[in-house]
Amino acid sequence: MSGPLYLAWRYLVFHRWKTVVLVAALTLILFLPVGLRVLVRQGAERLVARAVATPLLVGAPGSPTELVLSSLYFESDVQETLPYSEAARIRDTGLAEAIPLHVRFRVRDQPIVGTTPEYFAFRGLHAVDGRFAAVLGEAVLGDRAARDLGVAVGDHVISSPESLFDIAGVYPLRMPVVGVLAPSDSPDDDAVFVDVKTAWVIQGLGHGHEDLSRPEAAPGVLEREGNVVIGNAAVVQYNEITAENIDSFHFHGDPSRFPLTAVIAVPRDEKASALLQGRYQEVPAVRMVRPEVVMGDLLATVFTVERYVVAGAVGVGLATLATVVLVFLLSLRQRARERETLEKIGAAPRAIRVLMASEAMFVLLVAGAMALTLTWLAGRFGPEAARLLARL
Amino acid sequence: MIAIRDLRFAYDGTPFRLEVPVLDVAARSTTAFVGPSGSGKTTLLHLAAGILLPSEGRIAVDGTEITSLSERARRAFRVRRVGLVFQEFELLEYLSILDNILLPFRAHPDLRLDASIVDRARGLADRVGIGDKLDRRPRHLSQGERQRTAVCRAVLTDPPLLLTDEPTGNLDPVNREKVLDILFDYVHDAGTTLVAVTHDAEILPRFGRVVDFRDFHARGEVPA
Amino acid sequence: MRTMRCRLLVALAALSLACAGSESARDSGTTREAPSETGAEEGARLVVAVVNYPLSWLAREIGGDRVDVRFPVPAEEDPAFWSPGPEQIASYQRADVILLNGAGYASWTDRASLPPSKLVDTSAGFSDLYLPAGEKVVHAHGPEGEHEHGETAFTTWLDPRLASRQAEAVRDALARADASGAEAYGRGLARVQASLARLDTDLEAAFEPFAGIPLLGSHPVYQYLARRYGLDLRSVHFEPDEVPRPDGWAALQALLVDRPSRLMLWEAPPLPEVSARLAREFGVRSVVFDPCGNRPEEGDFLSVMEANVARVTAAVEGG
Repeated sequence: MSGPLYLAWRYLVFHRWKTVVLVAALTLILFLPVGLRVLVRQGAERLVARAVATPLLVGAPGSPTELVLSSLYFESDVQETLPYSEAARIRDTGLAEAIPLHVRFRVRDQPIVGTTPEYFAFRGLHAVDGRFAAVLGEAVLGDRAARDLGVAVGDHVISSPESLFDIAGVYPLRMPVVGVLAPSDSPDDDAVFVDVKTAWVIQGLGHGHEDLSRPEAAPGVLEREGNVVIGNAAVVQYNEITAENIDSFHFHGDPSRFPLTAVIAVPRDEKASALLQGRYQEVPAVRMVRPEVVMGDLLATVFTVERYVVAGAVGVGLATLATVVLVFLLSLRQRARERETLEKIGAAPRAIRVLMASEAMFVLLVAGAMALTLTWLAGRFGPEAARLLARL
Repeated sequence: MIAIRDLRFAYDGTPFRLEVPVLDVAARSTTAFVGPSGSGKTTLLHLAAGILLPSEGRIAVDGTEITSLSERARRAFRVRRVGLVFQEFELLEYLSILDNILLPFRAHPDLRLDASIVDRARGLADRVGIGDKLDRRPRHLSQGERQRTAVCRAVLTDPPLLLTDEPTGNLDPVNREKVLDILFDYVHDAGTTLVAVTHDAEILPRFGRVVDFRDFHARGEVPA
Repeated sequence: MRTMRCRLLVALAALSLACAGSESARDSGTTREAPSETGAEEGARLVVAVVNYPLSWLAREIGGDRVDVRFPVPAEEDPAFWSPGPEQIASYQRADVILLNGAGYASWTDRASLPPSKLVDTSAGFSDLYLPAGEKVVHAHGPEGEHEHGETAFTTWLDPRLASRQAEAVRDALARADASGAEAYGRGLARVQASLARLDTDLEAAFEPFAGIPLLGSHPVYQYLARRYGLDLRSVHFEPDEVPRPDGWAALQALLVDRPSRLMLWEAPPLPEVSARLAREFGVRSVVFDPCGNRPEEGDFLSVMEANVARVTAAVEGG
């Protein structure tokens, strides 16, 4: 029956813009609610997975959501810090392993995560290139961080100043990249990992004997690293920990009082977890949260919003669908004469039916296929796309 | 070619009646149907084509009694054996001229479209003078060219019977002559039986026979 | 038939040789460890990394077969001032337990990225007993070049009672990491503490004649020894393999003015011309008291300490 199909095709081509618009409209109607749900559910799944994988989080009193967002996803900043001794305290209970976190500084857009070697075993991260940090000042990058910053093992990254006018404050620290981690499909991919002591150096709590200020060359000869201002005559000073000066590095003050943004507590078992949570309920100066619960609350809100949005999309979709149906009906009416002509010249009834229905059928099929493809794409690349959109 | 006996036809819900006790159209003849509006000329054309069924009577076309065929069979018969040129040409605007000519071969499974048919279509188009316009759409053609396209479509299957309704109706005098020349040349060469409904008295002399519908008892108006 | 028997004999011989070979390897392991580890999988043994030789000895004595002690410091380095490279630091990171001496010993540990959950400060339990190092002087010597002594003295193990408490900390750390070996570690601890108690007695006897007599130290590493045995000991900054600079001799002169001493303890045998000049110009006899920070060429911690006892005792007898 290629005759009627050929005619149908010619009809669609002749009215190609109408066809495109109809296909687009129908695709959206079909895809939007589904795609939205897929995206949201997927995103939620990942967030939840990471939260579930982090049993307990300890931080200074403040917003639990901020604490979780800062410590698990490296977004948002924690207002208050807690002392390093908290990690030892948790460890000394014998109930849990304690992993300190210091998330405050950035290398351009990538968060600098100060922590200890236990973090990598905990998150199942391993180096695909190079090694883990051995000494103060060394940095290990997540897969995406390395790509976005355009660095590899052997290059350097520079921490970004917290504000442009950091007169008496934090100098950028130049850190050698000693390792790049394998992709883990998590926020760890975006991070620049350093030892927590290195984070303290960036904060200005530790330094070497000599002040290494190396004035940059003329603006034309700048490195593509860190927040170096091109064209500005200001001299950028940064610290760097090298093999020559590392032995002279030391900290001022009592390290047990140095700041952490959070401590991840990994209890030995359920009973230990309950005991630990019980103990920390009494302590006012420090707050212990369960990321799973915090994220659950956050996501409940997201899902509520999602429901409304999906309902809205469905409503709009139904209205659009009605319009599309109307368009088809009008189209049929318009083609009444065509139908008559065909009948008069003796066209087979089936041929006429195929021809008349072809427009709707084609649009439905293509829209259906596109909606399916988009849904699959959303499932596959949604998180990436969402991240790109968030950057913009 | 056409043999009508005791034909009675009425459109539902109207007072119109057509009664044709006897009508014979000889093969290879050229016949004109004339008469006032509403006298049933076009209706008889549609009956002869098998588009309409009489309430009573028999119609035989080229030996086949079409009144005893199912609708499906009548269509199949019509698409093969009857060429139709309507009053309004009725070309499909989304098809090229060539595709419009080839339309019957795409509209019915009994007709197989192959290279020879395409060649024949091109030949017909050349013959009527629209051979260079085969890729254009109907809206780019003049009235006369569209009329000629319709004629090509009608005769593509080489039907023994060609029915036309006001073949010169919308045309200026020059084109009118052209179209008539084409028609008559064709039917003469192919031996096709031609029946034309026309209001135009000036073209009547070209026809071999004129049938006046005042002879048939038609009443009321033909529904539009 | 003959060839079969021959082959069997050869095979047996080879087998026994192999066994003997591994035996000797294990034996040498207790007295002398290869500076670089082979990295071979040790099965279920606890991997214990240490920062100095006394801890290595303690860990082996207490842990026995249940532990695999890693002490990667090269024999010619002073572990207190050693700076490991990334591979060596990685081997510490991989250990199950990392034993630190505490009191500021081995400042490289402050600058390395070591997992806190595995770190054990063996002297943290008696941090209230830490002694100051004395005057802070920056000086240049040794293969590492310039170093300075921090504010706290760190040769805690030279006081056998403190060493005993460090041994307890070692036992606790091993038992925490390997609960199933708690009993064995307890027994090991008892043995070690008995040995240390005997050493304490011997040292006490050896230093008893020096009560009230000012003594000299070639280097400020004898603070805990001095306190334990009530020694009036002041130190200069001499190195065994170097001739002191003029300001060094001057410092010695200054010390001797108000505290005339006849005996100087050396970490290792001094250069002959130095000990000769000491004896000639200052009337000071040199006696080697090896702090045993790194592994000895032969013997173990106890034997080194006993040798120290013997030399001190001989010095007394020598007048």
